Amino acid sequence: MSLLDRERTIAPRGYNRWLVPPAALAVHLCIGEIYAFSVFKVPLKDHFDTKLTPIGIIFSIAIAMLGLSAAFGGRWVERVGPRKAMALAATCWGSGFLIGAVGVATTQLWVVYLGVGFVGGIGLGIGYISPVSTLIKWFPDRPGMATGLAIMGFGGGALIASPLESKLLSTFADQPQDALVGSFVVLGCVYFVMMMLGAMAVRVPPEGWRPAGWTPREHSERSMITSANVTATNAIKTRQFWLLWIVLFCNVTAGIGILEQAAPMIQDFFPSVTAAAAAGFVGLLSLCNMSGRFVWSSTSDVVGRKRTYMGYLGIGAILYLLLATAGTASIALFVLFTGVILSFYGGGFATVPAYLKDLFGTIEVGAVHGRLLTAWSAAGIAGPLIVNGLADLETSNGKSGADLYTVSLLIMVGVLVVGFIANLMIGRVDSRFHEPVSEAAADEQRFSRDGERVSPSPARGTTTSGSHS
Amino acid sequence: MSDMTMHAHDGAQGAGDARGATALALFLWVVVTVALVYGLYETVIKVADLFSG
Repeated sequence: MSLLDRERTIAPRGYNRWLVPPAALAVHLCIGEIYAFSVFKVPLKDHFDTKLTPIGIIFSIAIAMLGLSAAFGGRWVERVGPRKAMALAATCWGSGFLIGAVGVATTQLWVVYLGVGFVGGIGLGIGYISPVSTLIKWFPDRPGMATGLAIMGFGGGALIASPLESKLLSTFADQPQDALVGSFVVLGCVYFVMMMLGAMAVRVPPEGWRPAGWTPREHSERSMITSANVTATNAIKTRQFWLLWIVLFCNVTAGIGILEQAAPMIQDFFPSVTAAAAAGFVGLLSLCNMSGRFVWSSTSDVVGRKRTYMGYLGIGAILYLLLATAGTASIALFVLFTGVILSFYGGGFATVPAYLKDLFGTIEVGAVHGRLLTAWSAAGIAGPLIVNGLADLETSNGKSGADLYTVSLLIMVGVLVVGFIANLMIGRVDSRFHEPVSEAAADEQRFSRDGERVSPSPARGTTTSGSHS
Repeated sequence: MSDMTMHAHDGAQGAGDARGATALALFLWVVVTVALVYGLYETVIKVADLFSG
């Protein structure tokens, strides 16, 4: 049996479940570097003596591969378990940088596309989804908090990588464009080691494990939350999956529109803002994005997933409207509105795995999540297109300053309203999509409903419980 | 090796594995916390420019 096999990752009895999140965080903090890749844009442009657009393609390929590998690799991740998946992600993400270094050293841009974009992008997608279902199984009582903690790491990765990369570029050579090879090699090695440590630390709970003293709540027939399971193949046949796809698409489109244009936007709204202050604004938005992932996703465990998304989309629409109509009133208000919007953007990413668990159960939640992430790829194209395209159009119409963004901000209000309506339409998944319930699981459900212990026969297995300190 | 010896060996190996996993996870908690604090510190310094500039 290989060290990477799922069987080798089953936690011993009494294993503390709080030892699992750092493994997920180690992976997500590493792959979150992709949000800071813009640090390399100008040095790469100078090194290859080209324009910014061909360099931007590296990021685009990586994000496209993230969505594709998460969508197509989800079922494989569920089958082989988190350790093998994390090890593959570590290999792809680490070697992606090493291949990229070869591309820079030989001045072959296509090799950088292949390395950081294609190979690294596969590492992004597999790494992003690999800890999700494991965490949901360890924290069935607080799935939003658990996945929020991991996915917060993806937002936090850029906070760490951005200053680190700046330091690497100034350490290896006098000119940043000459320091790329060394920086890529160091990052590739560091990320590979950290992600492999995460892979070695991850543990899955034993079959039937549940937190000590916790029993699943019985939900009424009308409740959206299910204790049944739906496979990834069946999930995409349901209306709920596609409604949630629209919800995620709308939430990400609205957020990414601001995120992508943050620095020029604040300077257009307030011409007195310097470039350094605009960089501070981008950093503040990253903080809001990261903290929203943990705070709002944890809140969703208390108020419910549907209400949480009503907040993201409904309050988000109001904030966009305020930005469009009163955004120039003061810097503090502008920063407050955009900060809250970005916290909702991050929260939307982090809450979605728990929403999927509510709708489709835990059996293939990682695979369903992977397929849903195609909404991210689509929004990654739509959001910047709306904001940048309309800003260019308004410029050619002779407008300037905050007026460049009025139409695109109002379009975002409409996008969020569409998402709000889609969220309202999400209901319980029809039972014809549910997997057949085994006898043991039926006994367990009867026990949790009636409060009477059903003596399990050895053939049915037993329910184990463990520490959840 | 008798069954009893084998079980004792497996049990000791399991306990050792659990101890190793716990130590590694605790080490990772320290590493990710230090890394996040570093990232937050660097970001807060930049954010200060927004309101002081």
